[in-house]
Amino acid sequence: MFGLVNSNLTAAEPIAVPITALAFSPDGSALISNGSRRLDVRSVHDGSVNSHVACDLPKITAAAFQPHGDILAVAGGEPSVRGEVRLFDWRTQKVSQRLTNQDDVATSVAFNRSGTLLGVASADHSASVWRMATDSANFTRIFTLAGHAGPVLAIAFSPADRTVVTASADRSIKVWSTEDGRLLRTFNHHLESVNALAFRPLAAAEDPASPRACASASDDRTVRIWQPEIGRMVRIIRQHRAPAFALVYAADGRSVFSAGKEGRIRRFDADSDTLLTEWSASTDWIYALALSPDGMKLASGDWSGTVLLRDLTMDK
Amino acid sequence: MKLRAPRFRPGVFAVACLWANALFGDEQALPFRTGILPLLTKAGCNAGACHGAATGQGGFKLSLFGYDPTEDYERITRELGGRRIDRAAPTESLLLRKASRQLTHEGGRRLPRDGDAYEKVQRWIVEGAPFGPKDLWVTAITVSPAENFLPTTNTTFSLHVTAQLSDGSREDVTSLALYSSSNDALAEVGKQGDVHVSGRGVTSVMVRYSGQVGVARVMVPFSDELVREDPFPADNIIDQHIGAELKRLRLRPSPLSRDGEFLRRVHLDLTGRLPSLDTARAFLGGPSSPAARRQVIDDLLASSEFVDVWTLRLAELLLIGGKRASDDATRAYHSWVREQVARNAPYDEIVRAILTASGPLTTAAPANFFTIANDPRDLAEHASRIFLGTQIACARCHAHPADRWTQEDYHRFAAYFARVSHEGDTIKINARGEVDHPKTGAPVSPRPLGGSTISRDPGADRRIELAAWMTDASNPLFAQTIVNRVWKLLMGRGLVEPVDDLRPTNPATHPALIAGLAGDFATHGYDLRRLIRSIVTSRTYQITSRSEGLNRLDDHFFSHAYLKEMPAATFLDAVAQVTGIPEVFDGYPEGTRAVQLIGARTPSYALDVLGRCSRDGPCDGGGRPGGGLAQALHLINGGTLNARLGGGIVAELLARDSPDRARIEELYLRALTRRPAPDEFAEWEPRLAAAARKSEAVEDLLWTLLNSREFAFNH
Repeated sequence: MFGLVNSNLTAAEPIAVPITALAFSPDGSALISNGSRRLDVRSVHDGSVNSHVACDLPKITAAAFQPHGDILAVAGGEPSVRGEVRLFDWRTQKVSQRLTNQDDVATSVAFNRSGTLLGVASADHSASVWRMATDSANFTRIFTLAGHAGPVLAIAFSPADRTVVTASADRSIKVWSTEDGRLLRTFNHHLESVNALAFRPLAAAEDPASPRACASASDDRTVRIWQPEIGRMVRIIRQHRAPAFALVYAADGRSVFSAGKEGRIRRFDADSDTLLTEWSASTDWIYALALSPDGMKLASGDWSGTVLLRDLTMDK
Repeated sequence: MKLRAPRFRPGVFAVACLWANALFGDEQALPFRTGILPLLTKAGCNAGACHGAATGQGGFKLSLFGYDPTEDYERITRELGGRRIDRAAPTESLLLRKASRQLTHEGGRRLPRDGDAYEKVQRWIVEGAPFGPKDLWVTAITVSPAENFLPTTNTTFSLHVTAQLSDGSREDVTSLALYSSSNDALAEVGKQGDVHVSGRGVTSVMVRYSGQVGVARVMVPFSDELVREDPFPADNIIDQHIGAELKRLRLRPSPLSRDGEFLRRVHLDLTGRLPSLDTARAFLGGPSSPAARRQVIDDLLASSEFVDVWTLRLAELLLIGGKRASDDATRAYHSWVREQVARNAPYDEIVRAILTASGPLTTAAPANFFTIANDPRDLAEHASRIFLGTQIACARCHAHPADRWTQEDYHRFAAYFARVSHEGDTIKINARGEVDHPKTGAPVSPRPLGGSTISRDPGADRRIELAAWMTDASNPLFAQTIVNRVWKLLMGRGLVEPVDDLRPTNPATHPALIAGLAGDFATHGYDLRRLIRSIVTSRTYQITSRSEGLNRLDDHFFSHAYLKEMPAATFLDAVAQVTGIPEVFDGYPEGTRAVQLIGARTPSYALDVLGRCSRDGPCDGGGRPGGGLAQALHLINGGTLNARLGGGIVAELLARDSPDRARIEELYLRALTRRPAPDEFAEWEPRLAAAARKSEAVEDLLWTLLNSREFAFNH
């Protein structure tokens, strides 16, 4: 009744890897997940694996499509050795650029709203911002964001592009200027590692410059809502009974989904801490959530290698 | 029972298992808790200096010595997106690459690639890194031989460790257990349980495996020559056990103390006072006999000074009058304890009254116990330390590394105090109040340490159940703890040291004796005065402190009396007594002795510099913790001694028309309860005779006596 589709292990992949990277293609035609040294291209209807894209990173941790573009950024690397973001031309599914120079795995990758800036978080305690050339699809590093005392686990751009926000295992969230890479402020309210960040999407008529809400998920069993650009913590959502690892806003920005160690996905009202609905999506830890561009499907991935698709229209 | 190799029942990882079998043959994979974690523990990965530290190392945290297998499993396999293992390419797993130092690892090479442990961990990852059966764990370990009497030194033997599992099976875990010797100079233990003995005496080897602890005792006699005679007549439980152990250790005890030595010792121990001049002269002048000694003991046990000093000792144990207490409440509490000592109230009755007290602090005096801390966890730590001789503080954050206490044990014990509140000058028992488990955040129900949950009325004061369990005769720790404390006060060393650390891995020097004394104490109504009398009437107590022969090497087995530094109050009182000039304390009538002071906040520079117990924390040492240079300089130059030299006894002696020899003898008797030896007379008589000012010479003599080690120590 909920449109659940379980895409479990296939015979071609006897050894499951934890699903940490999930992304819908901008046209909504495909769902990308990490496999073992490859990307799995899945059906958005039933989650089945249709094809693979070679990606020989020992660990693949995150993936993001360029909004309105053809680039797929895949983060990963070799733990404790090197980190890398591999940029694929999605039309050809070939690697177009490799962004390296990290001493540990790249843990998170995010584009800004226009797709011209790329943020990369790394377990080597740093993050970086890369800018796309005006005359090509190549990205050049413009800032290194140094200041976290632990692995940086998440990165996200504000919808107005003025700031980029990073979250870390050092329990802090830092807000940086995208103009000059300057640290603007640090939030130290979380009590444990901060694992995920998500900005509330703009509604159609909204002014991008208005203060935006950003949600953070933490090992401290809370999701907190912030206004990073004015330095305010708006709300603490405490209904989790275990660490939360993944966050995504609904397309209309009116609700937010979270998941984590409990294997449950919860949907909260974005303007209160009211729990709208929740369901069990795994018997293991859920690391990744992704929302289809039309906002109708929610994908989740867990440690056992299971990808689950949920038809959100059934919830209404 | 049949021993078998660790095993795991494969589950859903059938494909992976086929692959694993191709690589490793048919040997079954290891479950995490009983197979993999012990390997990591043995390799030192979860030691306190490595990933077992409170904040871990390098962003990777494990529970200390693997006390929390579930959390360790999650950190290894799940944390940070599963970065530490690679099930698709097991040898590429960060866990293996770091531990084998293929990658930089500050902890060094812990699992060599060609080693058995590496192969087992690799195989486990190949198998899918399963946790294994959740209902399989180690319930206990057995160390054999547990008692190791070695006839001579420079020998080596092996320990064997067997784990009992929850499914009833047993495993030989000798190679995986952790070993540590209490005394490396006597016995060193290797990683595989091989013990090399290079000294003489007794020590123990602590063994840890999978959250369980065990111990093996190692004993090497002090001589290769047998002691054939019985050390001393053994007509009581103390002399029987001490004597038997001395004989086994081939140690000859020192002889019986001289009368003066005994008289001074028993006076200081039982009353905190030196024998008076008249008492000393009478006792030394009378016939020496066991009966005379017994009479002295009985007289002292019946004295008000006995009540004073043992009230002080209980007050220090109970931390009466620390900085949290008000003056009126402290006075009421002190008076209540003094009443209990005066009427020789049974110790279990005293403790029950304390643990269940509530009400206004000035009228419900024993309720003052609950003012020493506000947090139920802190109260639990105090209660377990004071009444059970057990330190549980480690288990507040992690399982005790050398004992059996877990976080759950700790917080459930603390739950007994969750409803106690200190409001104004009253201790109240609330209808609500819980202690939450720090991991689950859920409230835990109260449970005795090491005990099972007792059915009870949920509305009743939880402390009633606690007090009943704690003081029950079936709880050996309760009686053993107070017996051990009293033993230490009288003998200078506990049968277990430290006295607040009774645990299986810190065994008593004489396990049967402490058990026997505790049993006797419980059987005879927890009678403290009877216990004290039993000890001080024993030959063991009454032998001299002068060591001789091989027993010079002994500081554990009571082959001679051990020196006891006088506590601050006793020392100050002794100085006042010898000099004849009392110390004056603000708010107390003249003649009040330091041992009679209530609380620990009466202003006294002398007591401060001598190191009195502040009552803010444990003062189990019994000696003078102040010590050091400040104390030494004060006694040499300060007012405590020098201000007393000019008057008092010196003036009295000089006013008497008596020969110098008599003056010298009197000062020796007053200070040391003995007459001067010929060489001491020879030293001082000419000095006094030749002195231009006699008073200065007598002062010098008194100063010298009061600054001597013989005076400062109860010996």
